[in-house]
Amino acid sequence: MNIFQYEFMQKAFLVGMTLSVIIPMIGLVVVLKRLSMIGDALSHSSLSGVAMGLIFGANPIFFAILASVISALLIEAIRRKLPKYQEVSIAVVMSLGVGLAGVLSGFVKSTTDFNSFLFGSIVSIPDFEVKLVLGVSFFVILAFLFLYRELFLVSFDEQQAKMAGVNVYLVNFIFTILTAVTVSVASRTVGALIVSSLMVIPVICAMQVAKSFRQTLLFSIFFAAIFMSAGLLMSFYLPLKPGGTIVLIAVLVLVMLFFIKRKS
Amino acid sequence: MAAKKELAIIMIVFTLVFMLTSCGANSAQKGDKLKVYTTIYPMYDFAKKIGGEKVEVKNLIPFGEDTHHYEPSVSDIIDLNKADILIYNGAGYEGFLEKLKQSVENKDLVFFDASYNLDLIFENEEETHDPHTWLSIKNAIKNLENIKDIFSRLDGGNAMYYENNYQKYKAEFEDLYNEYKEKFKGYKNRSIIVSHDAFGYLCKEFGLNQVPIRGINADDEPNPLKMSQIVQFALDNNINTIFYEEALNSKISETIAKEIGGKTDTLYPLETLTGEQVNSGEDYLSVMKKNLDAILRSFN
Repeated sequence: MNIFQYEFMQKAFLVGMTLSVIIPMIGLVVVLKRLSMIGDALSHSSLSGVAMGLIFGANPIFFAILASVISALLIEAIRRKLPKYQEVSIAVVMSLGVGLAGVLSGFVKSTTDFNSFLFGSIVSIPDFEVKLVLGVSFFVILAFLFLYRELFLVSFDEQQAKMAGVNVYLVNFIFTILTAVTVSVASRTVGALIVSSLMVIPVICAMQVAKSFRQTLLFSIFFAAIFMSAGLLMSFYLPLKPGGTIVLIAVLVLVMLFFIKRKS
Repeated sequence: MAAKKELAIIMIVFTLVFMLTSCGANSAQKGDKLKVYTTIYPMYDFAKKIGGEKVEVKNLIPFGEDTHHYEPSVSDIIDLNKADILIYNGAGYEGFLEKLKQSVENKDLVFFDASYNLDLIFENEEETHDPHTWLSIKNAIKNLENIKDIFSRLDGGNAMYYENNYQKYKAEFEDLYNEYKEKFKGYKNRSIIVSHDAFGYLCKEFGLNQVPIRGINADDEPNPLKMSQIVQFALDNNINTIFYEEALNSKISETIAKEIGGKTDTLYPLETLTGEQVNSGEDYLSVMKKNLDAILRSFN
């Protein structure tokens, strides 16, 4: 049985490898800014966008991205207002998003199950979404490389970044939008589980071995790619679900790294 | 000052809560027609067919909503307290039934199991069975009969009316059955690939096999091993159509259809229809006909 004889596996690998580059990229900054739950919050907030899209008969994907962007900006705004309790911003926005979606869903007249609109699966990706992911990834990588130095400074210490002449406000704004678009597109394509875990776990793994920001970035992409391909391979030959398998492998590797590090 | 402000906030919250709860409480009482509630679409349709203008039928789960994840709301309980009978499919379909029985205070409400006396398909040796019993036309006729019996018992004055409706629809259902029994004759043991295994009763009735992509509960993540096996099965058995249900995500069905160079088509498990379908005059008979035609199309 050849794994690449199936088109859905080819697409799964193509999209999986691409996401293994951009999600840890975003994730590194997110973790350093102490916002590691943002992936979950944004993917669930997109739900209210999906509901609105269905009510107005417009494209639900577009509205999902919009809702995700608005939620991300709200998180950013609350985070500024309560710098000492940054993580509550995520709880507040997630509650708002899920609550809104719950109320709006009462007005949707179609049979479509919400979750299927919002959360995809890595082994069944339509052509349009493959293109969408590739397009979004291109922009995210470009923006990240362009703002590399600024993001580096901002993610460690905003005060110091300001003194170094960085427009912190603008950098945060752009990064917030990148995060929102990535999360909503990726969770629609491969599922929220993969997105929110790939955002954090490869980064933590990389931190165990890397010695600099640059190394951490490269290692986290490397780890994400390993988790992704191992999970896809295993779920193709064994009766396992791909999303859960990828996440479990990631956690297992992280635990192993903790042990190795303690021994040495 | 601070205490006053707090008091004001508490009062606002109370007013809001009061306004919201009082909205659902007043629906007018109408005549002395039998007030019938049903859980899912087939029961609704059958109750309407038998009860006609002598009963008032309402469906508990809003049309178009996912019946597998339904939770009774407060207003559902209030409605049921004013009803005469709740007709449910039974055979294990309504997981929320026990909860409902405990929450409803109406002592006179009759909980009626419409699948009483049906032939159930048991899976394995276990006690679990496929609850989509109405997808067998023979079972649907039995459902009609059960509903006719209970209506006659509760409302003896109109027993003849219910009996006449039963005879009328029984004949129509039997016509549908005979027509398709004939058409399926040449296709014994052919297989259909469906998105979740809801069509066991339909397949058994016409001598077909169903190959489900997902399990009974329909919300599983697909796994690639299973998907590749189904692709292989379709290629080996010259199957060119992957069926899906409107209510579910069609992505997986489309992925598999693309893999085998085939197409997708819709089958309706009928547990729910959209409001538009109901308004445009679709019913059990017309939708079943669509299902059976779609299956026949896939064999040619």
